[in-house]
Amino acid sequence: MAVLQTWSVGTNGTASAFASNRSMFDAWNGTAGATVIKIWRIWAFNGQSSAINGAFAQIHFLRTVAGPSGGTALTANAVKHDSTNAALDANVTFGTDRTITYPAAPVLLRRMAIYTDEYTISGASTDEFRVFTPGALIFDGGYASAGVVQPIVLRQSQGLTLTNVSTAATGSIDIYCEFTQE
Amino acid sequence: MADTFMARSTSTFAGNRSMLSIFNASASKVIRVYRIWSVNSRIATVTGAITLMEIQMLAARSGSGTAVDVTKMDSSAAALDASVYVEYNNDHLIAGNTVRRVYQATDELIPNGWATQLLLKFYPLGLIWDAGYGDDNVQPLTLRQDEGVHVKNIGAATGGVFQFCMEFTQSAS
Repeated sequence: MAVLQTWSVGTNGTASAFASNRSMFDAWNGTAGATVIKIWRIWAFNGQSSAINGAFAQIHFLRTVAGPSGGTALTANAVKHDSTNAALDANVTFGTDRTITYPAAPVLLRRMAIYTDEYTISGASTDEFRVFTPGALIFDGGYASAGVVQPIVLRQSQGLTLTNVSTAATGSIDIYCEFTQE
Repeated sequence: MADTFMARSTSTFAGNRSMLSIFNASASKVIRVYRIWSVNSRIATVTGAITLMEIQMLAARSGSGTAVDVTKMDSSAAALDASVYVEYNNDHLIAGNTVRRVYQATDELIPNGWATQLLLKFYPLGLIWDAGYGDDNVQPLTLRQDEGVHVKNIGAATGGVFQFCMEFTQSAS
């Protein structure tokens, strides 16, 4: 396959604090045309460095079916990997803490437990392990099996959310998403 | 295969310091950054700290940095264009484009330990950017004329010493 026009978008620490039933990050393809967004990789770094009482959070990867509202937009954080790429379609948006619409029958792609404790110097537990980029990789579309395995594909009026379905309300994460537009 | 190079610096942490950068001022070459490592190499005692690093895209070069080692992966490769600047401690202006941020712990390495700053001596765990994880569908960070990328310590940590490496290619288009 040819190289596709690629972007990285992340929370960059913006409003990525855990809260009960919060969409920690979402992507939405609201284009009216044939633009397709493919999500290849997602990382969830521990973004908490000040002391807190951590808790176990449950993150669900869920499909969404309507444009999100409210919350904090992250679309401006999207960075082209090559400045010659076309502009990102104006109807493709990213956000955190947005209100999400799920399909009547929820489509759960993956669930993941995260312990939200802070990162401490000289620590060696799972919350510390999530500062390593390989340790923070929570989705890897196809594991480089180009042309064989599909990434998460967002066609018209489709989206993806990473929602904290638990009551964990301490700690924060930095989520980064590598995606292509074609 | 494109001509491939490895940039490497031994960088001492200081607040708001650019730890390693590549800036392409060439009108005839395109630089593609595939992988970046940040690996702890400090063995002398130091009071470490947690610090926040960002990989940022650059729109200008300040010119005040220190040139660092760049090694060809194949001796038959063409020379790196003289207008490609690979530097440490350059006071770059940024374009406001952060593609990733990671925390690092800058304490020294000790034998028999088991903590994050010790695990950061392993290159697989110090890999902070890996374009597409080997996926041909995904673009690496592409630097056209007057574009760059750097790893910047945006925290206040001082004293630790890390090896920063960038694997990049040079091509005509």
